[in-house]
Amino acid sequence: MRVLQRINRFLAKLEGWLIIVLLWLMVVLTFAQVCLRSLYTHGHLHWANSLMGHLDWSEPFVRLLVLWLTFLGASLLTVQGRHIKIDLFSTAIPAKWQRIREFIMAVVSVVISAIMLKACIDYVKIEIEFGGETFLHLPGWIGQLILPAGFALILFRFLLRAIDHGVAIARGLTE
Amino acid sequence: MIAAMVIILIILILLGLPLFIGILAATMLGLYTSEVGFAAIPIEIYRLANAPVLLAIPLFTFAGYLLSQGGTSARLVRFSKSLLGCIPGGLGVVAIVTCAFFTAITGATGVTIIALGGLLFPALISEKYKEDFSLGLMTSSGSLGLHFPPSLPIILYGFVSGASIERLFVAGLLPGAVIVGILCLYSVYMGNKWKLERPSFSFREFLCALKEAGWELPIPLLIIAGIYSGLSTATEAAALTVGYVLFVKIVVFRELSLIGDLPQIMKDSTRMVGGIMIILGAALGFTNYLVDAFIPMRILNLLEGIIETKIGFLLVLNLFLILVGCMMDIFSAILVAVPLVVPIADRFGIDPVHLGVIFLTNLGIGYSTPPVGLNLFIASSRFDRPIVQLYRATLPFLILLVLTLLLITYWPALSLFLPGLLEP
Repeated sequence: MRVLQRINRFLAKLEGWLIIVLLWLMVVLTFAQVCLRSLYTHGHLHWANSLMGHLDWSEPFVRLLVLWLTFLGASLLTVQGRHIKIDLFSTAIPAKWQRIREFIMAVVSVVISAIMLKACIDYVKIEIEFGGETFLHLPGWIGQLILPAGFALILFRFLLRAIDHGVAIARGLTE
Repeated sequence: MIAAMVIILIILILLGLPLFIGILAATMLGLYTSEVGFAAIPIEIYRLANAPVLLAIPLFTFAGYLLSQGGTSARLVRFSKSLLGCIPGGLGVVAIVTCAFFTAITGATGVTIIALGGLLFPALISEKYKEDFSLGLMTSSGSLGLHFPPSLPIILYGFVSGASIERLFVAGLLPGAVIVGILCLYSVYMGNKWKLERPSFSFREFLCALKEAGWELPIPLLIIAGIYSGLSTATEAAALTVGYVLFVKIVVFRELSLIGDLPQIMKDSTRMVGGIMIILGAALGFTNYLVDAFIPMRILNLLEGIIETKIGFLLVLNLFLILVGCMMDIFSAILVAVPLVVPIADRFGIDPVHLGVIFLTNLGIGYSTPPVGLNLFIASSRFDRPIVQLYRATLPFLILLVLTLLLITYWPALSLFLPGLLEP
């Protein structure tokens, strides 16, 4: 369990760095695109247009970043257990049932994310075989890797939660 | 078997299963019964990477989180106080206007009560506003400003329903102003009744406050002007806003540091984005299943015998959306309800842009609706008051909001007049 927690923290740090780098890229590239486009259309500067030609990969790239940031953010949210949910009964459920509820939710989430992981791996496999190219002649499946990777990260976190609550419940029963 | 699984799933979701897991599970059940493979789900989620519009969401959220840090809220409060503090019930008006404004520039990401509550609530109490009034005001103000650009709920609604986001941005202006205006009138009325002391208008203070807030005040105007004049799309406006806000916060006010503060803000805002967008991804998969299985058509057939008129439909819609709005946050509510409601509303001849404004107003009200509206809980923990007191305190505001809702729902021109001007 200790090892798993250490892996968890390490991954979270890595995801944090990735988020910072990718969000900066997104901000800088979209900002540059808008500026260059208006320089060309309103200022009729031809160098702006040719520079935009060199940056033509940036448009699909930042769109892909949306997907990557989504999964990285969602994964970090799972670490904190703060996903959006309907919270009708959290105050109504007695404290000793709280843990059991959390355990059940974590187990269900593990099952669903595992199925999603499988579906995403199949999807990327098909894409590797038959898929085309995207920007900069990169194969499309590289961008799609975030789907299985994201669900793997989310699955790992829900698994940790399930183990955590499961162990605590078992300990409570033996005492 | 399937029916039992559906019931178990609904119970789990109501008990607090993460919503995106719940929606994915529902999609899997649906695909399983119609004997389609699960590969359809990743294909739909990948669509998140193919919509230029969605870029606006991480960008505006980032800008909103930047603005919620540091002195922006204090500067805005000072400015509106210097301008509006002198009218009867002035501080109440200040609170309402500042909250609406702040909600708008932060993209309605739910940071308003947290960022402004600590400033405005003690100020209201110290100027002898009744505690219940102040509590109710702060609670219901948390969802004002949803109608103003660059509100993220509008962007999401536009993306899911297919309505033009630029038109939606313009359509929300008048209804949003009416809501803010009516609450302000209520505050003026109460201030008059209580004969509260009020400061006199000081032109000098006004100029000082204007100079301070002058950098942040024009943000929504710039966005509206940019979109209205056709100069930029919502996504471009988002990129420009982030650039501008970074400049103001880092270079002009020097209250955020590039190395010290920004990484944490980026992580926080991306977490927020991840939370919403993963539900969006799941909801895309679910919608795809719903459409393939003709579910909206079936609901429509079911309704056709019961609801015959447009008015009747709108009334049922209002009740349904308030219910949804008090159970879920506005983002998930839009993602879950829009794909079901839009085809039905279309049959009743309701303009999708008008429908969007109805959605926002309803879901905003749902936020402060007892027993489980989200704002009530946020306010209860923020101001350390029992939830039951908040139910009572919010009631008069809720009644006013429902009246405006009826006005907005049954008077489409209020929403559609401005976008009509946009037509070439």
